[in-house]
Amino acid sequence: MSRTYHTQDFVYAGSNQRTALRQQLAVAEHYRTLHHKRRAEIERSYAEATGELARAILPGFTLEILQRAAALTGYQRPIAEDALGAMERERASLKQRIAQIEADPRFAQRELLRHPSTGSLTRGLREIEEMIAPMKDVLERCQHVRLGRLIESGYGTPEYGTAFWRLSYYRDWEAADDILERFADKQVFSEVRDEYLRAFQAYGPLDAERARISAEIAAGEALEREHQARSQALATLAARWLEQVRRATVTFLFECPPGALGSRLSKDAEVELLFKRAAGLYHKIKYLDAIVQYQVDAFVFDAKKALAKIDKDLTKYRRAKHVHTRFPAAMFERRFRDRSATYQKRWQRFEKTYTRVYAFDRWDRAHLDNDLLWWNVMTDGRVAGDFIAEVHEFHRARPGYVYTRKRSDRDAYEREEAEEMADAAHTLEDPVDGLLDPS
Amino acid sequence: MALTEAEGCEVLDACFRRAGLDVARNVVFDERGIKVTLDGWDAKARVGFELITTEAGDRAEFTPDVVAALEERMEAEELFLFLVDEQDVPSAEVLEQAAERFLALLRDQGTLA
Repeated sequence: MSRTYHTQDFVYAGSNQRTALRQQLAVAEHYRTLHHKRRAEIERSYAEATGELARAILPGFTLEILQRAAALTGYQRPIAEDALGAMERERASLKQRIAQIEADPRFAQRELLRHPSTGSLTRGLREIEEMIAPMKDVLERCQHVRLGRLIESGYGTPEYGTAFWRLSYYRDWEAADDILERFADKQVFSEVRDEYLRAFQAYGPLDAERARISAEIAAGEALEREHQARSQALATLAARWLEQVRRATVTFLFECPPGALGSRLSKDAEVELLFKRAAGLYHKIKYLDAIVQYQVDAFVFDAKKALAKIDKDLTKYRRAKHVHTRFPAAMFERRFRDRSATYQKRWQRFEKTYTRVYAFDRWDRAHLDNDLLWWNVMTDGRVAGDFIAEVHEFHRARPGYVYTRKRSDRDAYEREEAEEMADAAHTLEDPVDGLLDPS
Repeated sequence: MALTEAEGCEVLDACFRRAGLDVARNVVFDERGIKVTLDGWDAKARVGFELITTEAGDRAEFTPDVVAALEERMEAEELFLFLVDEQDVPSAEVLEQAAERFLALLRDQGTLA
């Protein structure tokens, strides 16, 4: 009779498996955290590299520099579209508008007009606001939903004609009493009415004057802001144009097939190396993301699924009705076999691939031709990378392609790799060895 | 109006009765060429009320001419009708308070005891 396992065996083995999975998830989470940190660091290096590349190609913004850059990179647009002329046209337009603003009395006399304490408009506005304030107070105190009707019907005067048998007579009465209560110095509503009408008649023209002065102040302030913005634009004109052309040039280089760039950039070894560095860092980010996605994220997904299943089964087999359930040995032992070696192997493989790409900095090894695949350069063609879309597509488009290893001797390759990784470990905040330590 | 015609009439009916009036509801008033149905009317005191609502079709009956004729009789102190337009009634409390004031005025001028 073949051996079977009891439910208590299942619960024991399942609990152990759950603990092991959780430990492995913690390892995966550690790798993810480390990757985010390193990714940010590479992004900073990439930004620096593209900046240095752009500055090396375009150290300034003169016709001579633009022509040399066009010859080196093949990017002709700044010359063809006369970027220098466009910049000069912008300069002329900015200067013209600035002169216009400076000639405008609203700007030229800004201190006289809008000085916070002595400006004529500022003072005028303050005076009108002081004059308006008591009227505004009366008008605000008279606010009532029936005020319009009380004024129109002549409530409080002999003209009021609503008879006492109409409900509206009592509603007017109540409203007038409500308003009168807000004026301690008034005895009857007719006094409030007179004051309201006086305030109302005077308020309109004063309020219009206040609006006029406010609009004049706002227009003057808008001119000041425009003057400031345009002066700033003029001061930064050359730098902005240079930056714009630098950005466009680098974008062009990145969009160019490497084969087309190789012969051009070879004329300037410094620029060529800077370009390789920037392009290599760009690919490094992409590859590291893909490695983490393929080897860590996928593991996390599967491990969480397995955890959910074991949790469900543990709940099930802890119930009394399953106390006599028996599990066939083959199934039980397959399910709860020790996977620690598999996990260890997986993480070692991950670390080796990740660190190989992360530590790579031999940008000079890339050859700018149409068979350039940074993955092969970084791994010396020794790591299968078909899980990366770019690598997969490269091989699909080149059936039978074989990468020529730069280091044919495997021992030499591994020695060099170890040295590079050790270098990376020393120069990094988190040593590469730290990958193994999830604590 | 926050009140229905029936609710408004109940409020007025209660006020008028508290004031000692013997109010009959939905009374046909037919005098000197004026013929209308009043919501409340004490024929002896010649005091009543009318809540003019669209709901009850009052606007067809209480035309501006009819109201003017009734007001002419009130000016002559021959009768007193508390005229309430539904558009002027936000709540039962406001209606009740106004009716109390109307009845107090009638008492002040000696129309009611």
